Amino acid sequence: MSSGSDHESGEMPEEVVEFLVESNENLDRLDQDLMALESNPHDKERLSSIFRTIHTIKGTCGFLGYSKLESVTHVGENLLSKLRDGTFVLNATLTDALLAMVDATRAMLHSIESTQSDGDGDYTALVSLLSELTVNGGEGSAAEADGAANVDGESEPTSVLSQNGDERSVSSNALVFSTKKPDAPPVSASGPTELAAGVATVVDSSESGEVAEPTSVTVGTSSQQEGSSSGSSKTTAPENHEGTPVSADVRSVVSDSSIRVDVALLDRLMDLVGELVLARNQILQFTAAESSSALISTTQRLNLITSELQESVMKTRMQPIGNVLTKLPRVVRDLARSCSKLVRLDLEGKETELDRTIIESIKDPLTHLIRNGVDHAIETPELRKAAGKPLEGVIAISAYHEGGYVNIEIRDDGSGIDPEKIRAKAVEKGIHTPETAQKLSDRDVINLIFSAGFSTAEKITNVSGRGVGMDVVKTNIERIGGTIEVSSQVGIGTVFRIRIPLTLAIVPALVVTCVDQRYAIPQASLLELLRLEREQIDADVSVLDGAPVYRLRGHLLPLVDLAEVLGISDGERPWTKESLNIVVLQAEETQFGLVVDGVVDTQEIVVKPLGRQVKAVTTFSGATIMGDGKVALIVDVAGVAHLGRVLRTARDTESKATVTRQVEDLGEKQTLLLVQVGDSGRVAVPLQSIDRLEEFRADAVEWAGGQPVVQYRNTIMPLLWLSTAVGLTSASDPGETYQVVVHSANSRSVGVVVDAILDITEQRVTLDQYAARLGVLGSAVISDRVTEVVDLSVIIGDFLSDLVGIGV
Amino acid sequence: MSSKSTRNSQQYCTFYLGDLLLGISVEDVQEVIKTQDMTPVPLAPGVVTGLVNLRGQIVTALDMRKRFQLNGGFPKPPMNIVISQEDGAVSLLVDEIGDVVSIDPESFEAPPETLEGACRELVTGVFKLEHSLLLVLDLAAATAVEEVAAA
Repeated sequence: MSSGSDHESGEMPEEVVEFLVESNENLDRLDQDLMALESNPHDKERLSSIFRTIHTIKGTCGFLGYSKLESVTHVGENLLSKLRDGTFVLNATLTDALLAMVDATRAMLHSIESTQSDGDGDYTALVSLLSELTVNGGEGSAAEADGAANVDGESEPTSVLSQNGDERSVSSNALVFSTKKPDAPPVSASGPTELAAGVATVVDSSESGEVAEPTSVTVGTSSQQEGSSSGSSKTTAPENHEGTPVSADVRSVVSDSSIRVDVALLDRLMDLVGELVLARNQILQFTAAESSSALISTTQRLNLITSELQESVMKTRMQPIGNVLTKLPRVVRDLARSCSKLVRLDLEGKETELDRTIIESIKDPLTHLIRNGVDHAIETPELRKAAGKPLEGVIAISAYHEGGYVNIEIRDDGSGIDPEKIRAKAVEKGIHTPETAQKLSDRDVINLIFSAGFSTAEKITNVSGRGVGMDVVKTNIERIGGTIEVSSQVGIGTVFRIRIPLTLAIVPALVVTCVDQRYAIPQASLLELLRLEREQIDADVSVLDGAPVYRLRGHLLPLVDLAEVLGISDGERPWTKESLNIVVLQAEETQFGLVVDGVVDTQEIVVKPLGRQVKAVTTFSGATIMGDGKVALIVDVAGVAHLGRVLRTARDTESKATVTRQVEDLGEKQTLLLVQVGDSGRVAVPLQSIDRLEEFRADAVEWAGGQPVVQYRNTIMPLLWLSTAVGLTSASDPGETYQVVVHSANSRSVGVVVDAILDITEQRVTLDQYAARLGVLGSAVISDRVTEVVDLSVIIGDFLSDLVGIGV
Repeated sequence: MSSKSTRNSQQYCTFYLGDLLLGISVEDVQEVIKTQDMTPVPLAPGVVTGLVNLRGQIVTALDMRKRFQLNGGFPKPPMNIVISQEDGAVSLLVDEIGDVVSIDPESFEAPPETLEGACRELVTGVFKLEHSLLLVLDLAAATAVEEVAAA
């Protein structure tokens, strides 16, 4: 825990270093911004930017415990807010005061850097001046500001001070005096001295002529000013020279050791390096045929340099995850205090590096998870004592690399997530009916915490509990190609496992061919490669109702023909060929075998985005350039899985448990409505989830909120197509009437359109996990045909949650 | 377009699509290149011919004959007019490249009412040249092909 309280201790805490770097940069911009603003006082955007900068500094130094700096920036912020609200218009007087504030801030930052304290300079004069200006806007002061001397933020102290003793500064003596602090330590003295000089300028200034052309207020005016007051006293000047190592030096050493680079530039560098790699590859090919040893050795050097360059450029984009993690102890501490809990945060693997864009995007999810952990998971000391746990709760974050991915584990030893509570909540929120909630496995139930609008906090605290958290966390992580899982044991604790790619820019990939084209498959989803010869195909590949499966070590692996999914198949089924190349892939919880023509090799590919004309194609996530300069598409495994209608296989024990339970549930006789979906798909819907069967003419369908609806019993009933919902194709000829299964939940009826109603049957159903997916419990043989059994409440719940945006 | 029409003369890169003479302001054109090796994109809208590697930049090639719903394919290997846009470059595949012409903005007119079909939506107006009419391509409309064909 490093905060304001311990900054005297030797090494500078990281957040202080960061604060210094950031603030110094901001201050340099502030100087320019303020001057630009002076010439165009109505530039709202610039004003807001200045305000934000000061606000940030104020906020951060408050956190870090630099009270003096905070007090100065605080009054500055007040003044700026008046300007922002349009109460005052920036004039030279105000600009001077603000610049003086900037200088004071800079001086204090410098002091922080060297002594880790904001110095013992006295800024009360500046503070009261700023406060005064906040009230009168600088209009009241008799004199218009000349602002000249100090406008250039890094002006020589002498030129500033030259006015200090100016006879005209009658009204400001009190302010001037405060600057003289001969016994102050050199560094901190520099601040007040230079600063108060600025203050003096503000107050005593009387050369109204200078205000007229704010743009030209810089050096020219300054020298003029100097000339005019050359005869005046400079008593403080020498002292200042001794005391300060010149104001230019105030520029931080910390910030000089690093620079900020626009990420776009790094991206460009990355692109160029990628090009260089291609050129190198081509040269390597040419020289392979050459016999000149000089040429060969030169090429080899080129080869090495290029590789190193590529690596270095990649490194510029990498940052240790610690940059995010080190901010968390503070969050935990403050939060724990406000909840009266004892919480310790353990961090492990801070040095784990990943791409900066990814670091940015996991910041919020991580913070949220931690807050949740402290707020909800860790119990109060009393409860922990009663439970026989140590009084202090522990949240441990560990980060480590694993095959192109970074795993982040967030483990707490709190109360755990009680599946029963979640079930009750799900029913209460109308996400599930009591029956469907009971059918869900504990693991599925716990995963409900990632649903939108789900929060089980018994009371809303100011920390969390507004129900807009976990779903956002999940979305944010998935957006960068990551996954999040949760497992929990009541009374013992909860573990969140986040898996995110190292970088979005370069990924290892498997290059495969399919119908004369190459495609790259990100290796992250790759489980294994299989090549089957004819006899194996005959023995282990079977086609069930049009869907091919492969028996892989006793499990059924659904197969997807890439050519077919992409619509480029020549019609020949690949499993009728002499051999079969299967790429076993993992998409979310689904494993499937992607059938390709050939496997080329694995390589690092540079991911490039697709243009907007092809962005909507869900089977590709990007494109890359191959060694020969041709473009290859990058397969989006989840997209292909979805389009290939791939199923969930029950390889891990937990989902096996689910299967067993569901099979048991359905083991009793059930009444099922058999419907046709698409031209040949058969789907069974448990009758208990159906309220009525209706038929609507196609022309009765109207549109509301971009959604097809019909008028039904004096209400508006949205329609959803079962074929779309379960990922089947709809019938080629929809006909003139729609067969609709009406399901009501939460006083809202939803019409589920099916292509035909076939039969109602009552029988014992043995459910197979085959084809199980969202809304589909699995498949079963019903009336001698393979039929998919759907869970209408899940489908409708999903549908309605999508409709929330239009006020359903 | 409006800001440009205040200038004295504008330069247009012209090209042919069937019988049509079309033009794009030269400022929008990054470069003109010959037919390139293209990687087709399965499931993409039909107008998308494929992806081209232009010195490390991936460019989406759009078949302007299809965009204008003209019959028949390209009479000979098409030319690529590379347009750089905010969200990446696109390449317009056209029959043939014409001259770069300087045009007096005074001769600009809105598209004639009689202009029909795809053409109507894809041009912003017409320049009356001495011997012919130059249709000004609406780049935003011509490159807006976002619907997914087969998903």
